Amino acid sequence: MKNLKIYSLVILALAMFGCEEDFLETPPKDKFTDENYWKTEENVETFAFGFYPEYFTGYGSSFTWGNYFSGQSLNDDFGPSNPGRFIQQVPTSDGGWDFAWVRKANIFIDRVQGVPMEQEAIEHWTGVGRLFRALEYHDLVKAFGDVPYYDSEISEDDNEQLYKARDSRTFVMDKVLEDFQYAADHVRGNVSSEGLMVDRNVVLSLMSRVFLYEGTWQKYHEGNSAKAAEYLEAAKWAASEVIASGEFSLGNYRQVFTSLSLSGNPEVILYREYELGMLTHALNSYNNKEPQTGPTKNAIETYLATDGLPISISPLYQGDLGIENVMANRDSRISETFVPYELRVNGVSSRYSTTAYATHKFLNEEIAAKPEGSSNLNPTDAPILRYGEVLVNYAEAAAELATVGGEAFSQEDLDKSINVLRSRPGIDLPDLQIIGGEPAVNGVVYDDPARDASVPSIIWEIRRERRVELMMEGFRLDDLRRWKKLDYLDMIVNFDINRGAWIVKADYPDANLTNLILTEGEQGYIIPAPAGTPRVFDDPKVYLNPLPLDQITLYRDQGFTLEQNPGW
Amino acid sequence: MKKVLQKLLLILLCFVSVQAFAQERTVTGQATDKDGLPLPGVSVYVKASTIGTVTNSDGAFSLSVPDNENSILVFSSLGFQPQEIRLGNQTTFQIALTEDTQGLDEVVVVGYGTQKKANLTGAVSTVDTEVLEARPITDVARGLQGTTPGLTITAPSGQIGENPIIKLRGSVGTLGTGGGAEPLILVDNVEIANLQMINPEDIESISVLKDAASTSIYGARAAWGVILITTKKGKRGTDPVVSYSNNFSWATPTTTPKVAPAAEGAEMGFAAVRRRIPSLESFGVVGMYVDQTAIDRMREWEELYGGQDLGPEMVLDRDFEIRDGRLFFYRSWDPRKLFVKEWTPQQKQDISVSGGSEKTNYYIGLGRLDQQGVLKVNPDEFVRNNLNLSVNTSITDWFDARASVLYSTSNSTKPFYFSSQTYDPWYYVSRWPAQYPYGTYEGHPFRNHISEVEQAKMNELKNSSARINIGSTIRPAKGLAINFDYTHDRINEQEHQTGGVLSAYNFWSTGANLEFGPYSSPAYNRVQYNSSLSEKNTFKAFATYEKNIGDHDFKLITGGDMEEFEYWFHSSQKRNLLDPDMGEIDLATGDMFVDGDRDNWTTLGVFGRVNYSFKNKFLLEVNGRYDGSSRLSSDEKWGFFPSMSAGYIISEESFMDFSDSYLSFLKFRGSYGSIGNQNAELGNIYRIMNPRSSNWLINNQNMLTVTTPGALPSGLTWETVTTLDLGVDARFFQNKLGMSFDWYERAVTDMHSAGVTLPSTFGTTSPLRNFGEMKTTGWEFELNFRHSFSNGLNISAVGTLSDFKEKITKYANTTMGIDSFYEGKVLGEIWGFETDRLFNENDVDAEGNLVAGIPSQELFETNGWFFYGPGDVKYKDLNGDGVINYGSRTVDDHGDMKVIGNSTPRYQYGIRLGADFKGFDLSMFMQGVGKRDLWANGPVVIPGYRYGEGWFEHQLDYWTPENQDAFYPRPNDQAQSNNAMNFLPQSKYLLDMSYFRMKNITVGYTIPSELTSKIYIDKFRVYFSGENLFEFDNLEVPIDPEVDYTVAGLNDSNTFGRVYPFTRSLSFGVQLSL
Repeated sequence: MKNLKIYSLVILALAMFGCEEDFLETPPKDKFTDENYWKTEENVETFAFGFYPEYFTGYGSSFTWGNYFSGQSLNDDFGPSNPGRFIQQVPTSDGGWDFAWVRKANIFIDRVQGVPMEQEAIEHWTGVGRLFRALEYHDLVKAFGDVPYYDSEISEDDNEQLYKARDSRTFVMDKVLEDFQYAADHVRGNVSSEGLMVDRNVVLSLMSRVFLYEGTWQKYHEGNSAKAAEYLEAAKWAASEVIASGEFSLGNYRQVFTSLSLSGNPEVILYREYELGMLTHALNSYNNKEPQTGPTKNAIETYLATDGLPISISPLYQGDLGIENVMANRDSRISETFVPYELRVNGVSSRYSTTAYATHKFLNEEIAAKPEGSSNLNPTDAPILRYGEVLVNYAEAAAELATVGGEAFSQEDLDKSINVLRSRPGIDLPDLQIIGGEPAVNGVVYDDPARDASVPSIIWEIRRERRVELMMEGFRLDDLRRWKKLDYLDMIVNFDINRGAWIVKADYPDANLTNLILTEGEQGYIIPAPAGTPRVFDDPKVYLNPLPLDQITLYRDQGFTLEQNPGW
Repeated sequence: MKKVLQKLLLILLCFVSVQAFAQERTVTGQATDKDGLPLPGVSVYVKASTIGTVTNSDGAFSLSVPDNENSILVFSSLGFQPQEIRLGNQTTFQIALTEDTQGLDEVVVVGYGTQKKANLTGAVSTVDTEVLEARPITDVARGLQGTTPGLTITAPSGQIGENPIIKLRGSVGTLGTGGGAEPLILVDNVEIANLQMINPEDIESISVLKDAASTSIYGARAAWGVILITTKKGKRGTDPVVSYSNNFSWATPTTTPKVAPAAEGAEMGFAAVRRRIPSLESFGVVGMYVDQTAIDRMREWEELYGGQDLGPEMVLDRDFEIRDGRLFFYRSWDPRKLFVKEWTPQQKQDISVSGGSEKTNYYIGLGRLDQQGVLKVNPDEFVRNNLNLSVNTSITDWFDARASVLYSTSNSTKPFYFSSQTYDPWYYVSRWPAQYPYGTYEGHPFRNHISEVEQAKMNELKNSSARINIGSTIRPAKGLAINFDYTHDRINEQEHQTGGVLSAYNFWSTGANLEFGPYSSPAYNRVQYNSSLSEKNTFKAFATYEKNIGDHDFKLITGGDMEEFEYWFHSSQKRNLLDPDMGEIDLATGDMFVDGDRDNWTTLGVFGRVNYSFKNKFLLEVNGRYDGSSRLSSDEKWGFFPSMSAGYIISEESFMDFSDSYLSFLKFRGSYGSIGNQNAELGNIYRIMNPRSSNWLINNQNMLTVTTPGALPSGLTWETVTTLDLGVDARFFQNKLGMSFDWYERAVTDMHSAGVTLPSTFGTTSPLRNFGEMKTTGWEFELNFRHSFSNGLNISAVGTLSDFKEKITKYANTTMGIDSFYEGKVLGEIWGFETDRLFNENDVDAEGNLVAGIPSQELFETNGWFFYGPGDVKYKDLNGDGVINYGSRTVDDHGDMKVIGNSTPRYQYGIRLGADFKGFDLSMFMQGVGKRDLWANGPVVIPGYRYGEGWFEHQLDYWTPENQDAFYPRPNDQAQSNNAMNFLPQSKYLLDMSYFRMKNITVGYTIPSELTSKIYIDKFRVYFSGENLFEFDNLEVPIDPEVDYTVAGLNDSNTFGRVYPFTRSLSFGVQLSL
């Protein structure tokens, strides 16, 4: 029995102090760490998917629809009852001044170099990482102009880097250009899931978008022809590479936006896949049965007549009394985009539109009545990059390049871009011609009387083509910004952006329309936003967003300076 | 285990003896004090009966009692300890009563041992476990609410089967780790993961250890105090005691918000949206429309049919109408009536057997709880079974062995939610306006949540929690005892969910085109199994040594403990059920989804404690603990934390003799010491790359991705929690009146927090380091009183009051934004504006502009349509600069904002009153919070939050030119914000969440034992009890004052106030023992 006491004490001693050294080491079991993650190309690819929905948002998810349709509605295409405003106040914090994605891309680029895989793979993934870094910097520059540029992860005590002054816009965009050039040189031409993963054509398409933006910005805002030319050259080259690849062609316009699957669509360069029960959106629903924000009179009038002439000079134009007349003899993209057979008046239709013109560009009629046609259950795939955009990018880059000392803009340029769009199956517009630098159809030069006098005639037509082709796809505000045309958004000067369809109240004897405000009382154009202060454009400061106050204060407290944008 | 149980039961059966029927017998005797002096006025009575008398001036008595040798004679007198004597065959009794040092000789369970209450030097409260008895409470924590100063117990909703939140001495505790100031809950010295495991009936005692000096012996995870629960054990050498008790209760919801009548609600909604779009003819929400005609028709409907039972079928053109291709509803419904039962039953039954022989004692407890939820259709239910077994035996005179099992199973069922947990049926009960269609048309339902619940299958969640403990005590030498305990805990949860397809008239998307058909997302047409397992092994060994040398008493403890925790989770889902009535994975054909989770951690520690007392007057305790944790950076895992406490019982001093007549006991005590807090987030010690779905699909697969690794962590070590506690305990008037007061200051240093504010360019959150500091200061006060009248009436009262405040004393935040943590911030503070009044028509000129002299509120007119005018809220220009603004929202520049309240509960109190007289007993328990504010969110508190959805009855008092004194401003589309336009955070609409609640009233009667003993029952008590009977509060909105954001509700704070209701209940039951 005495022994038992001793045994017990020994057991105690063993239990308490005899356990293994690493008893207290419990690294995470169901999570990776930076130290044990970067081992295979598959892991690299897995990390890269983290960037996709951020830059390739498409129709978003759940009750959102990305920048499509009313997702980006501060523009002259939309006539909401409560028009969006320009930024009014300097934010106290955040305000989009965020470098998390820059950091993510920098970490990715850095880690890829050490992953045991072929040199070709390292270069491909480096290119992919640099593409995302470039896209993030493009977004930052778009919002803030000058921003500090980082190409590596910063350590927390590196104040020189953390608090460095904003780098100039051109410095940053030169870096972005380097990233794009590297990506264009190294990203693979063929990937395992075409249309769903980044390949060289994706890089080039985005390059044409980004440098068209920056090239025109340099021209119109900075007056820097040299930089403008350099960037526009890059945009034009990138677009022409995509065109030259011969991989893409145009099919039915509306199918791009309504298909349950975009796999194999000849126009789609990159798309986001949606699947019932997995990932769905609500864009179809808001083209379907919900009340919606309608397009403006201004947007409707942009569409050409079937003879290729603007409505104000085309003999085919039937005027805008009644939807049949509006739609008659027009560029058929108008009826692909907007409901051609009825006006949906508030007070008459439950799925009314604020301007009575309704959008159906994104409506898949086959699912319209099913559960997946409504609510946030829409499974239609979203185009992220499509050939149509590359073509208008090409046309505009080429035309603008010619104005800043580049190669002259030619009929050949038009024929490989805009005229491809005009001969899209189902669209049958005469070719746009350039005669003596002026636009022409069927050999006859014309000039749109509605043209903004400060915009050269041919550029005006190219911009029209862009607006029509990309209608409701979220480009318009960016386009106005880079063209320095935010004054188009002034509702007093440009009152047609607060006008909808022409209505005669007496045509709806059963409906109570007393509160529907028309321009001429009992009839006239609908005024979608009759109350409230109209939006005016009176301060060019809104071309750039304000930086958040807390960051400015923080820099000052640390003995550094962070400049606010002009005017804020 | 089964065999042991069987044996024990057999033993028990043998012990149940047959008792003989008895005649009367006269007993006489005398009561004296311990020095032999006669004691007059001593009550002498037969236990659990009304037979009794009082001793005369010679201390003598004579009493005729039933001739039952098992009867117990009780002698009691003020200032003396009551004494019980078995009648046996005696007829004369000479009783020497010992003086009562009431409660002071009481032994209190403390860390790794017990301590005489009088000799405590730390801040330790004991809970009178009587508060847990005879109440329809489902778990210990709910029973503890209000009993112990310093302990805050809250439940955000009345959801059945859910554990409340327990906090001790603070709320947030530290900013570094999650969970807040949650005490460690130990049952028989080992942490219990789930309070449902312990049946309140099996609890012997509860101690709450509050300061570092008392808790430090538990180390690692005891930084926020310890609740020490000891379960009942059998007593050696006693006959078996069988106890049975039950409780049958019926519960009914407390205050819940009520949707406004249809026409009135629609009118408010219409007025609100027209501020945004004045031209609006009608407005719609989810496919149903409202216009002026509809409002008139709703009113008409109410006049014609209001209050009548029209049945569920809805009649076109009477109850609803299709006009201009739109759907209008006129009939009003009360979904709460359709959905919620008025009274829901609950029952509890508990039985226990305990006893022991000379060398062995045992306890068997069994309990069952059956609780029904308040749903009318497919009611939810919670059933729990508890088993508590313990046996302790002396193998030799120096070796004890013991084993115990705690086992509980619970099964909760509730209907499948065809939406997220955030938007449960409770949210929908008051989401829509009164005219929302809850009826049928041509026999089919309109889309509504009641029909969704009707169509739902039941989810089933089974939990089984087991704890097995084996241990031994060795006493190798006099005064030395060595204990070993190994405890294995395991919690297993299995959940089965069956979804399906909902069908109705989905007017949300079809509008007036009424077609009955399926509408739910195919994602809900699924079967899902979730299973989790957590396992913990705890090993403890410690030795105690006691030594007495003259006036010096020593007690030493040294030992160590280690814990090892692991967690597994797995879920499988398969879509597209072949038959929704057979929701099984094998019987579904669609996509499959699986998910998993895994976690583990370990701790290790050694500790020592020395207690020294001199003449039971000077008391000293010194503790030390060396702790290691796996949840800290590799090279920073260990920390040493010392603490000490001392006490001085001044009333023992002879120079205090003068006060003996009124002061019975007085002790000063103080403690100071530190304890470590661990549990850093994994992401702060490793560069975690968390797997998650990218939401980028490729060929139907949601591609996996991983998150960006965080900043390079700096070495994170223990947070140090240091408590200074000063206390005084006193008793007066022969111990009748007692009080205890504690003041404490608890400082968290080396708090896991950002060491420096980094600019956004850093690209991620600053790595945490041991940097910040936080301080909690508070006090606790307890008063108790007991008195026995000579006629047998006993009364008692206990009151507790406590308060605390948490403040950040060091924090890296140079911008000092009021919305973030900053040095000097009092936690819970609410920044807002002071409400002046509502604007009236004299405040604006003809153009609608504010007249000169009125501070501009333009800063908040940003959306292009809302402009302050008559009926809107006028804020006070506190800084007198002529504009209402918020500066830069920093501490130095906050414009007209100020701290308007605090959401931390302050001045929490509890009052317990008791009385008993001749077998009758009465107890009342009240509890409350003296001060608490909340700036809540959602339509219940913000009128017009979503103008198209339900408005509430209490919001009808709104401003109109005719009702200028209204409480609420003119209706407005608040655009889903509780921080805009008329509802910027402000003093007037701040919720006052203070309350006083009658928690419980119990009336009982114990049938005299002379009657019950005939059927071999020692004690038989019947009682009636009411829980949450009524309350007083200062709320302007009809919500229960204890309502808060639920865990799921935190995802969308607009759900506030629309949660599973709190209930009042009435119950009765019996308690008997053999």
